[in-house]
Amino acid sequence: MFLKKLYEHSKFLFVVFISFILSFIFLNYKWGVVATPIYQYGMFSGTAHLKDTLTMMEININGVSPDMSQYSFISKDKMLVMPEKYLLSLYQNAAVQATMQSIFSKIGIGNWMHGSKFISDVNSKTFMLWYQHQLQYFVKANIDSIQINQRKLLWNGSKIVPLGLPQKISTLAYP
Amino acid sequence: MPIHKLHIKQLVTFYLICFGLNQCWFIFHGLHFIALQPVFFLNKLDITGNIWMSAGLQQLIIQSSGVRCTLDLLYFSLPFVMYVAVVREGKMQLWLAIFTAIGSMMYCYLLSTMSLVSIEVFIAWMIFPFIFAGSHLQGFYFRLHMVRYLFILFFFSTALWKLRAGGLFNVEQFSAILLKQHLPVLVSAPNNWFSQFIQWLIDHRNASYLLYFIATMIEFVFVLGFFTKKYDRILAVLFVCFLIFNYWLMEINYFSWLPFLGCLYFSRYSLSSSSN
Repeated sequence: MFLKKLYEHSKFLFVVFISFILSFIFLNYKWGVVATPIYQYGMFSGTAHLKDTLTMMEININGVSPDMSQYSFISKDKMLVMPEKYLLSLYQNAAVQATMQSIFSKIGIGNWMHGSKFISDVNSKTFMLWYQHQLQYFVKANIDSIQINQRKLLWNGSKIVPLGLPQKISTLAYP
Repeated sequence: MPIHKLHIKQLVTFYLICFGLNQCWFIFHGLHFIALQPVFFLNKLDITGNIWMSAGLQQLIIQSSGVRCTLDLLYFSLPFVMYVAVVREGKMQLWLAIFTAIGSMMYCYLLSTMSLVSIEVFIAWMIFPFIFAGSHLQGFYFRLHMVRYLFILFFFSTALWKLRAGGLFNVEQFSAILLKQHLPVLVSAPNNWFSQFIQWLIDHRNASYLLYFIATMIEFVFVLGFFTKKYDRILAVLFVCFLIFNYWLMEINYFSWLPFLGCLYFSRYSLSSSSN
């Protein structure tokens, strides 16, 4: 048996290996916090339904909504995922800091989680300047203006239909 | 067949080739700190990751191009330096392997908080270098199999998650996933051939569920790896199919997991009594 051989070879490696596996099982069972490099590999395991309301970012570059099929999936994600991540960071970072502080406090290092270094306080203007610069790598035109909207959509059984008008995200506009 | 020192060199070469090819892809897409020049980060509920962040590295990366450049250079060069040490059986092999693994963990975590790549993609770069932490053949054999078991555990756990979270019992699961995953293209270019194909899969939920079911079964089959090494070649083929399928249909690049193939390949070699 491998574990027995490993124990005979090195007790240290045995303890490391068993600890890793137990941590993996525990953190997967707990279904929440992870610890690099121990992750949860869900890979689309949560139930999804065709009737779910769909939300997506819609980007307008120079007043035109680009044809997404013209871009690689990384370029598409840069266009659509990064604004989502930015908006999420405005409140998620503080929430993560608070949760981590309570976890770290249990082992006496709660003070490590103090301070503003855990807060990403970049304003939307700086973000949009950066975003415009990132998009310029693969958008083959000068980018004079960007507007990001949020759209809600629904699959009606045969096609995608909009639910109401696009919501303009006023903070995410360039210039 | 007994394991041989040459196998260590072959595996580290395979690892370096995988790393190099993957990094070419990442550099091409501007997914490194020099190209990103990040201005914000999105923190996660990750215990080790937050220990690194407590040092304030994320702020330094945002503020200093020198720090970005140094981290990129370190991340790209460490596997190569480790490779040289392993091939030459240098004295620093142990520390270089540990430093490469820990350095990769830190870099990948920070990159994932500042880019669109999720951290799970990078697991091979964090764990694989430990295989080379030492030049003794016996130690190599055990570390190789440790990583092999971990890889099998990771992959098999994805199937368990689909049971636990209920995805496997939902017939419209993959249709709904495809709809969400490809929504921007389906909306902006509905007549494109790929959109048409995805739309067909969404419409035919039994066909799309069959694909999801097959993918889950591939993940399930990895449980065999806990009990025998006899089927490792088949598992390797299934794994490559899974990666290609994921890249093409889901547009997710899990090719960073390729080094684990090395574990499935070299597992056939046994430890002879003369190994030292």
